Amino acid sequence: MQIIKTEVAVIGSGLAGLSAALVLAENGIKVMVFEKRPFQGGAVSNTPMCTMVVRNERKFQDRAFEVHNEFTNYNGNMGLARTWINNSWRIPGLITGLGLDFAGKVETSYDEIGTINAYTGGFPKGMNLGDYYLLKARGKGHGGALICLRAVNKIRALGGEIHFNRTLTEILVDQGRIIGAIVTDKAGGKTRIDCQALIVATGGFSENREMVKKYTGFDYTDANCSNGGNVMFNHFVNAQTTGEAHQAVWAAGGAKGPVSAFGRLVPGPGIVSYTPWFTRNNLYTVAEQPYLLINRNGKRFINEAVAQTSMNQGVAIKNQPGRYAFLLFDEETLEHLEQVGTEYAYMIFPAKKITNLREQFREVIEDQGNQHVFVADSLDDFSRIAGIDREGLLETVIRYNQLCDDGYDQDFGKNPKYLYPVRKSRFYGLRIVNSAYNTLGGIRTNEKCEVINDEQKPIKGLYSAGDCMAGELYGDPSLAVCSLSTVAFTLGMVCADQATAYVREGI
Amino acid sequence: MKVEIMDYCIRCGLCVEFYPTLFALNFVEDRIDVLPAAMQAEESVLRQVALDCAVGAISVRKGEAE
Repeated sequence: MQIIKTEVAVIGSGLAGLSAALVLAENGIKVMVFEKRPFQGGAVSNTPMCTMVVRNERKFQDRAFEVHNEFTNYNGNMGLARTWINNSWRIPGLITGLGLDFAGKVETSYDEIGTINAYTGGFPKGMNLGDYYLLKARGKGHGGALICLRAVNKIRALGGEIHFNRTLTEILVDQGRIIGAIVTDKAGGKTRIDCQALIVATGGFSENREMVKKYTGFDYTDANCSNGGNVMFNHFVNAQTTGEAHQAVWAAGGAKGPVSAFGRLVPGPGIVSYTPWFTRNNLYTVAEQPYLLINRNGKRFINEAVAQTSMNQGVAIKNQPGRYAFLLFDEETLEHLEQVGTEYAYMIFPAKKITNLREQFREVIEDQGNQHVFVADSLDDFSRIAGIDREGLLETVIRYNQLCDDGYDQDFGKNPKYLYPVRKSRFYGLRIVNSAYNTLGGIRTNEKCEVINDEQKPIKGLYSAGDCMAGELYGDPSLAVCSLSTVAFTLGMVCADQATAYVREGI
Repeated sequence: MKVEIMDYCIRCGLCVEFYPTLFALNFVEDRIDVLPAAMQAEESVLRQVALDCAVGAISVRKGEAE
């Protein structure tokens, strides 16, 4: 077996892994990155690039910490949350240090921390905790890919090494300390890495169907929900996220943490591109509107006004039979969409006014063959084609229309301005299933990003950052959608800080 | 024109999405294939294709395709 030596080995070349490797290289630590794919990047490579930063001022950090704890119900690792919040201010410098610019910044004042209307749906209740930095991307791509490419180039320029086509298969521990790891190439050849510290930043395991089922309860499905499954993963095709690193960490004694995957999407075909952040029409935006939402029993289950935040709606959908729901509205509401506009338009898919919506529905159903989008002349027909309990649906619609007429949502407290009755034929609907960039969590760490065992004692020299461990911020059960770039960047840098101190001083 | 995909292509498929007659995803070999039509495409189109790549991994040069 080939043996190579380094001070710190980083597994994974997404934002978390590359942030860690960059800081290590800048600290003069000998670092090698090992990446399973033949190129760098992770979940962020295929996403719009927006990151959140809590200002480096005590009162902002205190308030953001308070909001995070309140909305996770004090269920997460609060020490880790504080570490993240206290260090996120370092992100802009890391990005500009790669020669990249921001397209803009949306500031959150102190009084606004903890209010609705976050720019991204991954935080508890969608609360905005800090300022949002929007990265300038290249071409039609998304900025995350550019960050990863520039980071690889800079790591190499600083003396670090990047090894592609290498999958972590075993972590070597001796007397409670990391001594190395084994990586395997595509031909099955093994290389032993002798290192003092190891950082695991391998993202989720979305393409391991058995692990997804075992640790989330979801049945993996494709982007068209063609096999009856109930969770879709929002990364690009052939991601090969199969969880070897999770298994290696657990085999080395790392504790198993909670895993989640709770966003939401309308299955295809014809809704989003297989590059998920490009929509083929406006139906993705329509799905986010605060119209009537029901489960397959026809029952309403949420204040639909919170649906703009994918985590809120996703968690609620996860609790419904079959783990899916239906958005339902009528001809008058469609007219409203076209004449007046949307109630909510996510900044990634700006669509205040929607035109030609009837044709969009027709095209997706008839030309694309989408099985999850519905148009019907009657509610009876709608229940039949969508597979919704007829009596339940009719009872709910009667009740809902009465609430709309009353101007007060006694059942779920939705803002009256969003109470659109469902009366006038035709009736339009979308099935909404759970989705996520990837699974979130599974590896447990303490507040220093040290991987911990079942006794919550650290495995010395073993660290983790990013989607593979970010469930720690939310606790058990984890109710998170994705770690978001702010967590990946920040905890990657924290891992580097810790590994640097450990290598230099044995701390 | 000669069109080449550099080794730092991240296989995001944007080029396939926007220019399906010029590029294809090759799942077997885990890469983006340049289709024959790309070699015959107009230079202005190809220059735009190169600009649209998220990581600038599409190289367009004058010369006969191999």
